[in-house]
Amino acid sequence: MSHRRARLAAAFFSFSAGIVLAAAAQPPRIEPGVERLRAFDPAAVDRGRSVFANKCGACHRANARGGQGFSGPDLLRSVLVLQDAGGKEIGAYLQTGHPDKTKPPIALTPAEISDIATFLHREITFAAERTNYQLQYAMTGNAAAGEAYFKGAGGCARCHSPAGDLKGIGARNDGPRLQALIVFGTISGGRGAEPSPRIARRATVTLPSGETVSGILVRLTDFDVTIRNDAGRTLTWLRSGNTPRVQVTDPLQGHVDLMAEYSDADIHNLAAYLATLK
Amino acid sequence: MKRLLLPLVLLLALPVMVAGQLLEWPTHYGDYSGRRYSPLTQIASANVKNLALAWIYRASPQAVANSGGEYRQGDQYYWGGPSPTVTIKATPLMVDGVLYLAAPDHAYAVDARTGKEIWHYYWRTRGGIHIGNRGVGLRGNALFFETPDCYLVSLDATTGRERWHKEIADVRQQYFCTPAPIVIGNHVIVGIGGDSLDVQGYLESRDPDTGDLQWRWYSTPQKKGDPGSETWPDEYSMTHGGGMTWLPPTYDPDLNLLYVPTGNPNPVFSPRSRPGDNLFTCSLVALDPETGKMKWYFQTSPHDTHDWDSAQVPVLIDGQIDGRPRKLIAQAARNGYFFLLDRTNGQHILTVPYVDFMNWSLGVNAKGQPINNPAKDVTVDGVLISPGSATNWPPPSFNPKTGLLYVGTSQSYALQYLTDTDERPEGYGGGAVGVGGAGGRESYIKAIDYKTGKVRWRHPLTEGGAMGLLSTAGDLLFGGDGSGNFVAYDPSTGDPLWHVGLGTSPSNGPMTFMLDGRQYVVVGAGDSLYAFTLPR
Repeated sequence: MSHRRARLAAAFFSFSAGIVLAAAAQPPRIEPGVERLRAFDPAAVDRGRSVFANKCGACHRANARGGQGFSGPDLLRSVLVLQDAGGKEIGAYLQTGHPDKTKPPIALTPAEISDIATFLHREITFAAERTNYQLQYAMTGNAAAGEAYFKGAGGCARCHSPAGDLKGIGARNDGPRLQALIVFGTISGGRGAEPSPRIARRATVTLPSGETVSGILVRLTDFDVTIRNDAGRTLTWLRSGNTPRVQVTDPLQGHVDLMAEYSDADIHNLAAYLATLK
Repeated sequence: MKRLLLPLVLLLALPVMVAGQLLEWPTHYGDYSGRRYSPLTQIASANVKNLALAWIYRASPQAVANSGGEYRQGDQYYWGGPSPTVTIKATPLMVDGVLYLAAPDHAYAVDARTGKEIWHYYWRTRGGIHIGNRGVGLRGNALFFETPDCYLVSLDATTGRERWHKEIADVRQQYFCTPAPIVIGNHVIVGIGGDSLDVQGYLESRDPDTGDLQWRWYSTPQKKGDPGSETWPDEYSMTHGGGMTWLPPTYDPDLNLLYVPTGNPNPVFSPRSRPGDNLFTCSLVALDPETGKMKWYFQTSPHDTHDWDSAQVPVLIDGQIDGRPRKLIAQAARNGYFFLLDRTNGQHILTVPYVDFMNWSLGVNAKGQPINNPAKDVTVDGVLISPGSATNWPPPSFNPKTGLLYVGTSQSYALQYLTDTDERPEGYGGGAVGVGGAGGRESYIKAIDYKTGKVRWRHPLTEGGAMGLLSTAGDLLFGGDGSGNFVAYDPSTGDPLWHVGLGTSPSNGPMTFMLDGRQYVVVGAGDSLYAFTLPR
């Protein structure tokens, strides 16, 4: 469900162990783009990761996910870990000699258990929260093929010029941003509430008198149309059927038309080409 | 006062009734069929231009004294705390002059004549993602709703006082619950949600008097040898394989079958740990409501790799195919295909795309199932996917007079990336991450001919997508246009016949009922319900 994406922004979470408030005196190091991880004390996460790798990694793998060649289970899916609050349940369990009380308890101090819990909860949060996800992007395209597509089949050169509007685009944008710009003409697909004239849709409204009025299209529904004219004035007409007639031009129409045409290789190649335009 | 003459219990047992008798809206979809079609005709295409506001009810997001919950002061919130706002995504029920609805952590009873609040119940949450609540179920004087921290709460419908509550899933494992309970005889059918981590989907039946578990049906096999287990590599993957039951099921009282649409498999975008079809995720499943035993299934997205949950309404249609009367079930699925099956046995009849362009599928196999294009599984350097999401949970509507299924749909494109390259990926593992975004969106209401799957008409929505739809025998189709308007459309052409600007776009599925000889249409938009009727 795509609406589930929106929920992430509203969600927040506050395990106690190893947690620092965003307003704490010592601002924590923030991993880029990992906003929710501000709630975790990164020093505790690092300590926990290290202790875990040393004392638990042989069975559970250093990243706690287990897998091929590891006897221990994936702790990011462990109900005990998921139900743990601040290391309390994890600590109690480790004291019994897990997994079946036949082995001696792992020698861990309370502080180490707390750090391990913080590390595990951080890893779980990272897996569950899509706003935390980090691209593993590596550019794979062929710049020469991208240039050929740009000048040929893609028809990009009809609107864009490497020495003109695209000059320096490869210096200003990384691969994922270039790919978003290639496909959508904007970052993240949207135009924003106040689109720049370069990407704003324009409308020409033909009134019953025959008069035409043009401007940036603000809103068009079955029942009304609003434009902002070149003097900055907002003008609205009610609509009934196709009256008044509204003709819309979209500077990004070339991008829209290509969406169904691209192969993924075309996009990757174009990104590699644009990356050369420093 | 015109009232339904049938006793309430009988009504709840058999709400699919002779056309003209259903004056109330006693269950989530109006009746069990999922058609969201009302036989009421007082508001009709000829007079709809006179439709006028009767009242507005604004739902409060505040805590109130009439409350319950397992949260204790000082506890941590798991994955989210109370929401400071209310958005009405629930379709209200209307029984005996009272509307009942829910929002995350809240339930409300509202006087259907005046829009005045009768009671408000507040749930002290332990957490869970507060994305929405689809509504309540009602059996006699007992009301049921689910909370984001996955409790089933039963209230006294007259007073709003709590009768009992029961935990139906563990919020600490990232479950969160949005569905509306469906009451069938002595069963309260409840679904659960949560696919951010890799947990199991299931559907439960609970005792209406005690809340005790009657049965649980898991949407993935539990062990090797179970039906469907051959479509997973091992028990570990199938018991962490998702398949959430986000949407209330539909029900055929004659066949005594419950139709359950299931969610996507987990991990969502990173499928390397789950080769195979991954039954019974992304499926339409028929269950015996007495036992929870599966009678048949049809998988609408084998081995889904794009979050194409099949949590869209399975609509029951009594129709004609090749001149023969057939008991049918139809679904416009999120993956962009329209499916038509025989609901007595799950036999496949039709699979037809209802979007113009689809690049994730290589076509349809001999069973009528889409074939996933492995080249469009997400990669670290990105793939362009369309449709981004052809439709979602907002309910469609079927009008037996036109034979058309109306569905809100969009043709969007998304750049999707693989982010979790581990041999054991977790959670979503990828998607439209970072600036992946989506665009090129064209939204429509489309009218699909159930006999052919062909789109008979489409009406563009220029500013946003559609939400829930409602058909009536008054030759009307109600829905939002994504730009803050609530609109009555001509169901034969899609032309708008009436509209009102609500400022906020409709956020639920509209419903209608008859009270004191007047027909009302009620829609939720943001934190408010709006009721419309014809002036006397």
